This record gives sequence, structure tokens and C-alpha cells, in this order.
Amino acid sequence: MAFNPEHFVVHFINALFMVFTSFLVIGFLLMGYFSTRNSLHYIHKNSFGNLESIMASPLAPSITIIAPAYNEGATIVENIRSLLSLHYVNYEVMVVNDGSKDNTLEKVIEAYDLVLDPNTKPLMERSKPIRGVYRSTRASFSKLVVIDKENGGKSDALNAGMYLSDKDYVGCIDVDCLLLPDALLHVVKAFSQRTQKEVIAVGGVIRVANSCKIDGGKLEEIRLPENWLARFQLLEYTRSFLLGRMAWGRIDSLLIISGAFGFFNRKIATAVGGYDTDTVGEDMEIVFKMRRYMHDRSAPYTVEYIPDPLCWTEVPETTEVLLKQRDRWARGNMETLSKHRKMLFNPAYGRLGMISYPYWLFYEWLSPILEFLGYGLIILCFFLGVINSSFFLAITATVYLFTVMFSIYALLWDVYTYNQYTRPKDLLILTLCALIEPFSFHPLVVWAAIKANYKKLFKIQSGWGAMTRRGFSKA
Amino acid sequence: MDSIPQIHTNLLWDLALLFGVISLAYFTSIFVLRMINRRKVAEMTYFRKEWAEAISHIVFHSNEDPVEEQKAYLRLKVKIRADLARPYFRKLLSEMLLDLHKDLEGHSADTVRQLFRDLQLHHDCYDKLKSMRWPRISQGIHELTQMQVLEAYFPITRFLNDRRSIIRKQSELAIVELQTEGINYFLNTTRSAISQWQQLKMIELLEQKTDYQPPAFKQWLLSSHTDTVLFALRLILHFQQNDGKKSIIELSKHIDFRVRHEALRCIRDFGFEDALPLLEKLFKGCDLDLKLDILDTFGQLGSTEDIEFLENCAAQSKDFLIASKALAAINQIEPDRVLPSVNLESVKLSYANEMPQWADDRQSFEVAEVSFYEEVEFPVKTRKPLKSKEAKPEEPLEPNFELNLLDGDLEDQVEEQLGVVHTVKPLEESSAQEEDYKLFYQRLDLEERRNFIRNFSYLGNPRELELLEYIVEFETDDETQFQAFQLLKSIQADTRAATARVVEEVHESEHSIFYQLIEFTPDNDLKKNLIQEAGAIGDRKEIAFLKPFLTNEDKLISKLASRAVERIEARLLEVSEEDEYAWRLQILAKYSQEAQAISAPEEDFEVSGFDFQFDLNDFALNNEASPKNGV
Repeated sequence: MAFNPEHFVVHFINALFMVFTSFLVIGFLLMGYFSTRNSLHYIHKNSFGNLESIMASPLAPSITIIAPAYNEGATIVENIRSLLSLHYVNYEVMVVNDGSKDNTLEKVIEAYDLVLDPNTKPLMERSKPIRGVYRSTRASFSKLVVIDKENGGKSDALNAGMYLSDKDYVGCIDVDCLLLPDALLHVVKAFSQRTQKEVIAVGGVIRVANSCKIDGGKLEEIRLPENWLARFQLLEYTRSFLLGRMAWGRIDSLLIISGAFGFFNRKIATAVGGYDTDTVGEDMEIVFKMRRYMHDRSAPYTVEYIPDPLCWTEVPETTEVLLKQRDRWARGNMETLSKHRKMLFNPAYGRLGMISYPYWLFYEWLSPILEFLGYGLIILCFFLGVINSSFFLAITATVYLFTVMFSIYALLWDVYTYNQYTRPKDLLILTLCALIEPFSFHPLVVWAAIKANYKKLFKIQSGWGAMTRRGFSKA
Repeated sequence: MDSIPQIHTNLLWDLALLFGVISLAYFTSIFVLRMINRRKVAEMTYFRKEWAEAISHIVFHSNEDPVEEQKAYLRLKVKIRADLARPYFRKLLSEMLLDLHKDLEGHSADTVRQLFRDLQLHHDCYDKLKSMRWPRISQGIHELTQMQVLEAYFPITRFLNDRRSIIRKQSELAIVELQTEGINYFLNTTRSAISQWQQLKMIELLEQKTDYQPPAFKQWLLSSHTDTVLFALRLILHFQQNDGKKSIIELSKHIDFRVRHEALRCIRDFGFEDALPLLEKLFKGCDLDLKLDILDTFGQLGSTEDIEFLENCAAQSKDFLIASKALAAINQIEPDRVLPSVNLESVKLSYANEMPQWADDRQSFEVAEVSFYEEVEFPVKTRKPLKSKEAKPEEPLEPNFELNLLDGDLEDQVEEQLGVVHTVKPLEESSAQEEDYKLFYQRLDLEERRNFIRNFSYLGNPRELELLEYIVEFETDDETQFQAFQLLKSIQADTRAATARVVEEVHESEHSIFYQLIEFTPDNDLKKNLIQEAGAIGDRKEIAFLKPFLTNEDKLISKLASRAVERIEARLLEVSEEDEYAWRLQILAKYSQEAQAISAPEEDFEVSGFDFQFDLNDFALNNEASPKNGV
């Protein structure tokens, strides 16, 4: 049989896509298995016992919650009040006003009777200059510290807080996140329950708070978001946090902790230089750095992950804001992977180098590109008349049903473990989301990733992008 | 072209079908699961509804109840016992009692536990201990512990070194909780690592025990199990058992970093100065964290003799952290010995050339060596050396200062100088240097010293307080010493009272019990009720608390607040003057601790050798200062 270059190219492309798809399917099946085992273990382990007995212990480790605030005047007072009412004794709330242009600082000073603390520690060159450190004159707000500094971005603000803190652990959260009252107890337990390994960081699930009933900084009622975009994100978050990260946690290869709810061992976080201010994916980058730091020293360590729904946040409800957010995530991913490329298939980093890093490279970065190219190729083949219709339909149905199966499994697992959305109507809506997501929401995410790659390729400058929030609905 | 795909299309359709069927199964499972959950909750709710009254009847039953109720109680018990034959009933009742006891305290909680044991429900927990599954065994141990089944202690001890960590941890807590001696058994027997969380929980359990007499934990410092030693050190620190000095000092040589770190904490907290020579030897071989720990220890416990070691550390270390920590430790031992030196304008001082530079240029500070002072020989005549009354009779007044016996010519010069210092000048003018005021005082003869103390007036300079402390400690003339003591005491009292007044003014409103209640409530009706309650039972604190409400936008709130203030004021008028005085003393006593904390720690009134921290309560209550206080 004579060599036919056209056949060879088509064969090659087919083989590439088939291998890639097969790897993904196998990877996701393994992910489902590991996450199930890890979740079951976690539930059994924590089904009894009293966390609150440690709540008031003078021996409990100390925590600083760092909440950077930039132009948050509208909601800052209420958000701080929520952070001050957590069930834990040995913690402080450090709000870092990152050179806000609105009245954020004035509002906080007025609401909490703050005065300038003259004993401000100089930060050397760790962050942009600190203008002042404020503390409350009222005993009931003694846990509150407000740092006013020049604008330097989220990472810079977090670094300022991290270096000014003198506590054992630092928690980096978004100031508009809602933490459940016993969040810190879970975090402290995660940090201190290991005996053979040092826990360098603890991450947790982020839940969608859109349309939830919130009053006085407390979550009163969990409701399904009314906005469809928010509903898709809810399904995506459930899949990602309850299955994906649980599975990575099981094999101790978690490489990302969400910036909205991440806690770090302060000594190690400062030893690696804190957050990188040159990237928009600082939350992922710091975990890479801390892991490498421990690996390079051959120190036994781990990163813990808490699946309990402890942190609730508002997700974008408009396509424009969503695209900006995903664009930023994709760029942050690329920057981090590029910076730590030494880890790729490097056996010295164990599972991180051989499994976790390749996953981030081939699935999180390469997959949207291949998907986008795949769409183009299908259209091209269709016009060239070289498409095998029956095969195309069969493989599309297989991939689609696999995706739906995985999403519904995430929903089932959510009902089994935390049972947040109990109304049948909510469950039916979420199932519907699982059915239509591959055609509606998913292409948006792919498009955002392609835009991010384009920006990186042509070095188009792009920062964080504004995230407009509607604010939690009041009771 | 049809032959291009190598995977059979039918296989793909089969796979698609499989995934579709599984999706459908998951979807169905969601609703089945939801139904099961709902049914469980409904059953439990129904059971609680049906049995809640009966259980509360049993829990709150008393032997002194009327005969009819006694009979009803017995009938109820018989009925429950009969129903216990049904496993499902046993399970629900067991769950209900376990839940119920969490919400109760004291006698009621004890009664629930007693009922649990009377109904033999703990045998179900014993059955769980026989299971092969770790979640079930852990649950059994947990339930037995919750219900205080003391006889379960021995069956549980066999799990103490179980290879399954959850079971092991649960049994550790159970052993410590069920028996007072449990902690001894645990420390003797455990061979596994003890996590920090476990340690916290066990210490909490020990803290919650009533009339608990902790054993001497130093005996476990000899254990070969590192985690036991570590936990024992933490227990020693927590229960403040400072009788294991030698062992603790020895443990600062332990190979495990955590043990060393904890031993150093104990050394610092208990003030074991004997450990310093050993730590000096260990310093070189330690890692960074331990070095910093050791320097901290020197800072807290060190004396001027250790400064040389610290200076060497600062000069020789290439690590900025160690160098700066060493310098900080020097300043802790001898305040202001190390001064800032970089980025300063150069000002020519007469002694500038005599101040030696630190060899290490990387450091941000340099030490102003005392040798400058040592080289200046003051023409002082040792007429009557002042002696410490207690600890150090033979020691010179100032270790860095040599008393010179002077010849006749110099004696004249001294007399000349003394003529100048006979009049009392503000200390700031006498000398700005650290030790000069002592030197100045030392040169005075008895009459001059008496004159000095009679004419002493406090100008608010901390050095004046230091001088008074110095006089009180070293003065041999009783009259002068007593006058200095009285002066010092009155200054202390004034400072504390002033601070207490400030604290009182700032926080008075926040000391009202109503403050915390109203602070976070958005509910206006509740606010109104609380304001009325404050008026009904409040005192001065509540007046301060109510004042902000007098100008509240809500007219009803401001009216209620005004009425409440009037009520309290009317009530306070009825209080006698004696009560008023007692009340003031109470306030004073309450804030004395806070005032002490607020007054600058650098100017602490404590003098080595004896303590001037007299109790403000006693002072206020006795209304006079006793010369015996602290002397």
C-alpha cells in the first residue's frame, strides 16, 4: 500500500486526540475513585468529636486572618464584623487597606473606633510602604488590626500582613468572603493533627453564596443562585472542590489553594518570600514555592484540604466579569507553570513532578487549546467532506455522556456528604445544568483560556480586571 | 476514508450507553438518597416527639416526688425496658440520649448518663468495639467516653497502641477522660507519635477535671519515647511544675529539635539561669531556629557576664537574624547598650573617637562600649560604701565601676565637687548617662543623702524612679531608705491610679454586661428590652453604657434610655457614702491589674532583690502604706 500523506496526517491527528481523550477519561475515573475514598475517610473521621472544646483553650495555636481590601467601602464594615465573630480565641483579623481610593479606611476607623498605633514595625522592602497600623480603642474589637498602605495589589497587601503578623499561621482570604463560625477550628485541627509530617498549608472548599440569605455577616439560608451563570459555576465548583481537589489531596499532590480561603504556616510562607507580586496567579504560585522549598530540604510535609463548606463567596453573574476572571486564572496558571517548569517530569519532585504538574500542564493549560483546535478541525473536516459522521457522533456522545456522568456524580456526592440543596427543584435545576453545561458554559471557559494564551503569546499587558459584586442579599 | 478511525464505532456507542446508564443511575440515586435522609430525620423527629416527655420525666425525677409520679416513673421505666428488646428502638433511644446529654450540664447530664448505663445501652457500644471496621470501633469508644462508662476504661486501653490512627487517638482521649490516672497510664504506655491536636485536647480534658491534682510530670522526662518527653515538657509548662530543673536543662541537649525547643521554653519560663553556660556551649552546633531560641533565653535570663558571649555572636554571625537577635538580647540585659549607628548624621562628640566600632560592617547597630566609662576615673572617696541588705553584701555597687582609694590631694578635689552637687538638680541635668545618677548619689555623705531625699521632687523622668529604687535597695541608712521607699510608693500609686482612671473612663461602658448583649444585635425590640433591664438592675457602668442611647435617632430608645438613667441615678442616691467608698475600691481593684499592664514595662517598679509590686487592693483597702510592704 502506497504511502498517503493525507491519510498519515489524519491518522496522526486522530491518534493524538484519541490518546489525549483516553488519558482524560482514565484520569477522571481515577479522580472519582480517589475523591470518594478520601471523602469517606474524612466523613468517618470527623463524624464525632467536639471541635469546640479547643475553641477557648489558651494553648490553641494563633492565627492571623489577612483580608486585603481595595475600594470595599460599601461592604467593609459588615464584612469585618463577620470575621470578628468567628468561634476561636487566639486569632486576629488584619485588614490591609491597599491604598483604596474610596472611603474604605475612614469607614473602618469610624465604625470600630480605631486609633493609630505608633509602634508600627518597619517592613523593610517586603511590601509597598505602610502608612499606619490602626487598632481599636474598644475591648470588643481588640482582635482587629487595620494596616493602611500604599497600593501594590493583592499579593503585596497579603505580604504586608504576612510579615507584620507574629502568629503561628496566617489565613489569606478575600475580605468579602463569608466564613462559617467554626472555620478556624477546622483549620487549626487540620494544621495540628498530623504527627509524621508538617502541614505547611490548608485549603478549603469555596461555596457559591449568590442568592443565599445572609444577615449580620451570618449565613441564614442556603439557596440556589437565581442567575444561570452562577448556577453553572456552582456545579463547576462542586465538581472541582468535592471531587478534583479531594482526589489530589488523597495522593498528597494538591498544587493549588484557593486565594479566597487559604491558610499557611507563617514561618514557611515567609521563608519562601511570601506571595509573588509579579503574577496574577499568586495563590497557586505560593503553594508551588512552599512545596518546592520543603522538597528541596527533604522535609516531611503535606498540604491539607478541608472539604467542609466553610467559606462562601459571590461568583460573577455577567459574562464579561466571568471572562475576565477566567482569563486571569488562565494567565496565572501559565505564569506559575512557566516559573516552575523545572518540576515537569522531574522525579526529584515525586508525584508533584510526575503527575500533578503534568496534569496542570496538559489538562488545565493544553486542554482548552486542543479543544479549541478540535472545534476548528471539525468545522474544517466538515467543509472538506472528510468527516466520518457516524464516528463523530459516537465519540461526541461518549465524551458528552462521560462529562454529564461526572457532573451528576459530583451532585450525588454533594447530597451524600453535605446535602446543601435539599429542594427537589434545586436538584433538578442542577442536573439540567449538568446536561447543558458542555454546550453553554464550558465554551465560555475555553474562550477565556484562549484569550489568556493569546495575551501571553503576544505579551499584551493585562492586570487583574475589576470584579464587580452585587453584594449578599440581606434577610 | 471510512477506514480511518481504528476504534470500532459500536464500541464508542456502547461506552456512550454505559455512561448514559450510569448517569441515570446516579441521578436516581440522588433522589433515593434524599428520600432516605428525609425518612431518617422524620423517624428521629417522631421518636423524639414521642419519647421526649418520658425521658425528661425520668431525667428530672426525684425520690421526693408524689407517690403517683413515682408510680408513673416506674411504669415508664418498665415500658422502656420492654421496648428495648427491639434493636431499632435501642438504636434510636441510644442516639437520643447521646444527643440529649450534649445539651445538658451538671446533674441533668449525669442523670442522662446514668439512664444510659441503667438501660444497658452501653453494651451496644461494647459490641461496636468488637467490630472489624475502624469507624465503628471509634464510635463505640467515643460513646462510652461521652456516657462516662468508667468500667470501659480497661477494654479501651487495649486500643492505645492500635495501628489504626483514628482508633488510637480516640482511645487516648478516652483513657485520659475516664480515669484520673489515665494520663499516667497513657504516658507510660503510648508508643505512637502524639499530634499537637491530641495534646491540646488532652490538656483541655485535664483542665476540665474537678479537683484534679496533676502528677509530677518530670518522671516522664526520662522516657525513651520522644513524643512522651515532648508532651511531658508541655504538661510541665502548663501546670507550672518547676521542680525538674536538672532534667529540663539536660533535655536542651536532646537530639530532637522539638524537645530542645520545648526545654528552652521551660528554661525561659521558669527562669533556670543555671542552664546558660550549657546553652552557650550548645549554641554553635544548633540550627537557626534553636540559635534564635537560645538568644531569646539569654535575653531573658542573662546577666552582664553574658554580654561578651552575645557580642561575639553578633560579631561573628553571618546571619542577619542571629546578629540582630543577639544585639536585642544585649539590650534586654542592659538597656540602650546597643544604639543605632547607620544612616545617622555625623556629629562630633568629645568621646566619639573612643567608642569602638563593631567589626562586622553588615550589622545595623553598633555597641557603645562601656569601656569609655571604665577609663574615666572619677575622683571618688569611699567614705562609707553602701551595702545591699540582702543577697550581695560583698559586691561593689556597680560591677563596671572601680572604687578608687584616693590620696589627700584628690580628696580636696572631691570636696570641691561635692560642694557643687549639694543642691538638688533635676537628674536629667546631672547626667544623661545610664549609671551617672547612681554615681552621683554614691558620692554624697549621709547628711547630703538625707537632704537629697527630703528635697526630692518627681519630675516624671523614669531615671528618677530608677534612682529611688536604687536607694531603697542599697541605702544603709534606715531613715533615708524609708523616705525613698515612701516616695517611690506614692509615685507608683499615683501612676497606677491615673492609669486606672483612664482605663475606667475608656472602658466603663464596655464593662456593662449589657454592652456585649446589645453590641451585635440588630433587633430594635431586643435593644429596648435590654435598655429597660439595664435601668432596672444597673449601676454606674450601665449609666456609661446608656449615655450613647440618649441621643439615639429612635425616639423611643432615647426616651427609654433617659428613663433608665434616671432610675439608676435615683437608686444610687440611696446608696450610703460607705457603700460608695467600697464601690470605688472595687473599681480600683478591678482595674489595678490592667493598669499595671498598661504602665510602661521598661519602667517596671520591680527592683532586683525585693519586690515593690505591692497590691493596689491592699493599699486601697488599708488606705495607708506600710513600710514593711516589700522590704
